[in-house]
Amino acid sequence: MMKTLALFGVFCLALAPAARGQTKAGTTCTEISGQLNEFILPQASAPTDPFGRILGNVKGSLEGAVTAFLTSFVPSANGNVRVTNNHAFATLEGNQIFTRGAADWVFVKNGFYQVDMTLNIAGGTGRYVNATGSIHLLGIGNNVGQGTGQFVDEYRGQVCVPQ
Amino acid sequence: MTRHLTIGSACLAAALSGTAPVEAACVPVSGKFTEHILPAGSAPNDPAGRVIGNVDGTLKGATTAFITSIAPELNGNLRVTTNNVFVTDEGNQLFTRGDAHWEFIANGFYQVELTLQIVGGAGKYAGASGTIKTLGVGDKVKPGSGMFIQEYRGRLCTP
Repeated sequence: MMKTLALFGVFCLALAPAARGQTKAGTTCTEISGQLNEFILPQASAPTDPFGRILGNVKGSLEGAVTAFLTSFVPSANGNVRVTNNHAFATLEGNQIFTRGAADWVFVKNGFYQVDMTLNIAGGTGRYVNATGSIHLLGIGNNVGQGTGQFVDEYRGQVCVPQ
Repeated sequence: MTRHLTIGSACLAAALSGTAPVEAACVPVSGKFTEHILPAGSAPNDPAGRVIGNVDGTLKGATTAFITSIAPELNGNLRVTTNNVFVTDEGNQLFTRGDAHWEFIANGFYQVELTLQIVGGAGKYAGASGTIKTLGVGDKVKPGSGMFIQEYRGRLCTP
């Protein structure tokens, strides 16, 4: 019986709709992917964000601009850092996506980190009004310091909007 | 004669030792940008608001800015100062301080004239100076929503 159910599950999975336009309980979900290149702004350009702010360029499905700030920064004894953040994307078409994220920065050497980050989509504007979903990013932090350095990340995820 | 030669030698020595003023290389910049006002949840530490935008033209890439002061005038116009950053697709950064006049057209709609003084940068714009003027409109502008569409033109100088 279990084997039959498992086979049925695999069969259903194979018949699942293509990535673009998947539906999920009243929402339409779309696979997204691409790269982003984020630059840490100097303190004078983000004086009110205590942990700093980035500005970046986005390629791929969300092509456009991104800005983000850290909402928490917790370093570990081994050099790794756990951060939470708040991102806003503005696509070239004029749509915005807002996210709340958490990331692990694995220490490579001073100023250099391997970054693993998950962004939970918390709404948007334009075609992304009330969007949900999540975006997973993998990348590196390069010469990261207060007010300087950059992050180069690849992203992949799913954006869902109400039908 | 000897005295003239001595003065001439001193000037030459100063020039060769690099103490003479360095000439800046200036280039014209122009293009367009579209800025979106972020909701308070995306910029909670910027009480007067922050924008994110996409830039076309010479500075093609991304921009963000926040308002450093806003002074209403009697006729509905606003005097605004700003802090704008540009990140080009090539990874160069440009930092500016802005002074804008928002001329009231209708509720939430403004004609915007902005002058950005360049106060440095990173990458190829390290030590940059110059001025950029923009002309555009504010569309459905209110706290946390709305947009600005602007054309920019100016002169960017690097050491």
